[in-house]
Amino acid sequence: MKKLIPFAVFFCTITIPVRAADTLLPVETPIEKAIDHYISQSWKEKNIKPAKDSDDSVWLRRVTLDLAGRIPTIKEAQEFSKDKSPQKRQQTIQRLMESPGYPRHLARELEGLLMAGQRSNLGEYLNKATTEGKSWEKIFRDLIIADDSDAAKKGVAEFLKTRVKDLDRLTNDVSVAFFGINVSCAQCHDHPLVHDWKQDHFYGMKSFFSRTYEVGEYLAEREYGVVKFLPNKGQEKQAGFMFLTGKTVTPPGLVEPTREEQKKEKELVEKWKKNKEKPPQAKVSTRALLVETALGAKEKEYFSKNMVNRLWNRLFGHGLVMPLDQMHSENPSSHPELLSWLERDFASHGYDISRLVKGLVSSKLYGLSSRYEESSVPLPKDFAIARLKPLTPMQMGFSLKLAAQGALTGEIEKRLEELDRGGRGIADQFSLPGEDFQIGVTEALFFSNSSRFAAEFLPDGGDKLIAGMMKLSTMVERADLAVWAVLSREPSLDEKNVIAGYLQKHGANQQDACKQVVWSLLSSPEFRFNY
Amino acid sequence: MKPRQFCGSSEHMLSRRNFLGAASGASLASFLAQKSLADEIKKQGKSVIMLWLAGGSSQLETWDPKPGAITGGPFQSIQTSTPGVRISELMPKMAARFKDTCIIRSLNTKNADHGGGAQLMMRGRRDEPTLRYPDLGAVLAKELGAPESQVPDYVSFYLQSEGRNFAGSGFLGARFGPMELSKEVMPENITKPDHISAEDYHDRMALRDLWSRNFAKGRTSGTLASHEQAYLRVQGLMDSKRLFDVTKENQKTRDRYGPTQFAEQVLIARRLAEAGVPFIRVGRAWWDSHGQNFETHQELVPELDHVMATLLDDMQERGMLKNTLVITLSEFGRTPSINSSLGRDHFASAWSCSLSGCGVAGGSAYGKTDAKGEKVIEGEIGAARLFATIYKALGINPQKNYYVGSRPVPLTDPGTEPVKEVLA
Repeated sequence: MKKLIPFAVFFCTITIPVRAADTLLPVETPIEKAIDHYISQSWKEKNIKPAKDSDDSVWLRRVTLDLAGRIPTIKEAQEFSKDKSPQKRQQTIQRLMESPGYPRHLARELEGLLMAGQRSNLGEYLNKATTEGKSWEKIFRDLIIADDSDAAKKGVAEFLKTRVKDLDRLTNDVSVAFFGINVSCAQCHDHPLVHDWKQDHFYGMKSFFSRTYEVGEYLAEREYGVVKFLPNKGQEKQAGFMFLTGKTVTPPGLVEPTREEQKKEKELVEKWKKNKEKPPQAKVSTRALLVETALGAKEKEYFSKNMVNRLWNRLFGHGLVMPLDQMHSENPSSHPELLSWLERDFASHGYDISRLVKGLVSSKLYGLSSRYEESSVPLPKDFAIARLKPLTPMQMGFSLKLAAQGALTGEIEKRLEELDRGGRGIADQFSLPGEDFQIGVTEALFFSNSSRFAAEFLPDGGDKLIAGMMKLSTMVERADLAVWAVLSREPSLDEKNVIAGYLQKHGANQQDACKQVVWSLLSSPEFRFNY
Repeated sequence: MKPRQFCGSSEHMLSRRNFLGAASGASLASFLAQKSLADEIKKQGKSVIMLWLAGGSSQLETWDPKPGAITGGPFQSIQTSTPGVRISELMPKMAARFKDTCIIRSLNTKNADHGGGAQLMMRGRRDEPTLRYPDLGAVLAKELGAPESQVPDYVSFYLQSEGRNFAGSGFLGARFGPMELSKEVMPENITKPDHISAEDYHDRMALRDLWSRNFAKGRTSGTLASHEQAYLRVQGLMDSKRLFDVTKENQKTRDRYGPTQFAEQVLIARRLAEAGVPFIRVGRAWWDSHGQNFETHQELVPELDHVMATLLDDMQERGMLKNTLVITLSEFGRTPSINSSLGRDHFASAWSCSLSGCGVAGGSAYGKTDAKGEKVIEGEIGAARLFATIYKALGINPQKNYYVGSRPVPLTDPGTEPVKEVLA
């Protein structure tokens, strides 16, 4: 017996709701409370003992990396550890989310989601969008409608432009990025495992993009046209304009163009190309129709759940549904009620990314330790231990720059922005982590032997970390500064002794010894991971 | 060099467990376990050297000549050491030592575009919109390399600019990505910097190890393990520097291969394979002969012939040939029809490649094209079956599943059969 599935409800005649909304926690429950409620309930059911809470310095490093894309400054770390206020975590979340680093980092994370690690020109638009606090719905609308005639939305068409040459890819990428559904299997045959997805769904989704084409550096959209495909069983057929839920819509112009019309279009395109002219926006855009359909009362669940799952995965290192692009009935969530509650909350609060992010990082769950000393280790999908998240290339570049800088002086936000920019060059040395991410030996060789690494992160003189260590009079103070700067925490007594001992032993050239200590910390897993 | 059979990797421990399991009963399950143990043993110590003829070499001027046909061009064919199999007269040395080589003359790979063709012939299939497949080098690095291997496990020589950047480890990630040699024959960052003494270099690594051990307490993660392995491999890779130094090879051997850049790289490839590197690709460019096809091939094919024959001889003398597979491959072949610039254009519907050594039925030719070389008339195969055959020759199950997250992805598409006739 196949499981009944949420969306089967929408287009089948059987209407047995899987989870009635009224069994969920009330809508007014704070996000963090709902998370902790559902997760601790699942631990109870499975008799799982969660990891201990992480200490303040670990929490601060985690939340700073997640919200501002960098490790804490020495001052932030030291002040936080001294702060006795019971509200200090909430205050820190607030402070970080109000800092200019927050929209900058969020824009990059969104770019990673939308462009899957490929270089793109989407950054300018996304930076503007996150700075203005645009909702995910608005961003979705902007990217799919892609009207860049408005100067305020410069670069918004990049998402489509990089894919328009291959409409199959565009169709699937949109499904993956916005709805968490990889429909590529259904391109050639009905999906073998997932009964939700037929060829009709793939070509139905493709129909919305089929009128879009490239004219020089611009996009154009026809006001007519249909997609035909040859099913693997039966005769060639015309695809309906069908969303993933099976909902169909009927735009005008459901005909193939006459020869006359084709000829006219060709002439127009030639003219646009010749004059480097931007084609006018179509009066009836089927891409706009897709946006409306996807956000419809019964369809929006996909859009909402996908982003909830993506943000959850980003902050907790593992999605509520894994893999992220397989959000379908045969692959249920580890915590269906929680996902439904969060999805409802996200949709009913205007798809406000920051509100959701704030809720996620405010949960107790977010503060769990990544260390687990018990004998039987829970599974990732139990969320009973914090996951190790490898730093993204940009987090790595920014954090390396910041650590090597040591103490920051002057206008802090300005300095941070400079270091962030400076880190971009080195970010290319790293790849964007995905599922089952593996770090290669090229990275270890780069840290170990590259003259660029040494020059950039272990420099002589100036006002940087090594020089800062040299100004201190005792070995223990030097150890202390190095650990605060690189690992954003106080060293243990043992660590202080080991480092001081190392500096002592290599005393002849103290500056080189300081470099070696800093190198050992920068190349350590404690620096490489958000833990 | 430590023998790779005793590297103690977790992968091999796994096969030992399989073995213990298999010994305890005679059930089907244990039979299967035994079978997988046999596969496991079969693939140990194996390497592949791929001679990648970038731009697309002509099958008519190499493995599938058609002298006398209107498409045949000016060159004749000559008898190989296998009666009845004839190859281009531009390859006398390979003709004479044909016994270890199997030619496949029936490739129909359909993609005659450089980028698409190269991606296809390096991966055995097309990428999907959201799934980037690993290329052969990355798969073999994973299958044949040891996790903590002290030598590189995928090396790619690509000093010429034509046809670069089509390789990649796809969903297998950076751990199995190529060590690319695109500027010089020596890998990047493989030498200890001058500003630090060997002793200090060692000491700081020991300090790093200490932080690393402390951090790993109570933490398990595959990514964390890969980070650790990467640092454990640094010293070994630095020691393997000598392998890339062709001057370390004795002069007689160097003279045998000859003084060309291609020859030197192939000699280095042999040194690497000998030291246990599972996959080495040597890219040789400028085969894209849209004009002057015959002059181009008159220049390039004899070099290929000499270097390839020398490599096979050299490896045979060293007892390496039974464990090393040499693949000579391009992104596609060239049109039988000769264009007005006396060139041949891109052609993917009836072309050739060759496999030599490990697991291959040497001295044979598989498949047939018609009299003009325009289409395959016997034994047509595509990239998928070629790859299944390569995997099989190396003792790797072509249907083995990898997992992308929880999604199983077989090495070759379900139902893809290796070509039995090509296999020993």
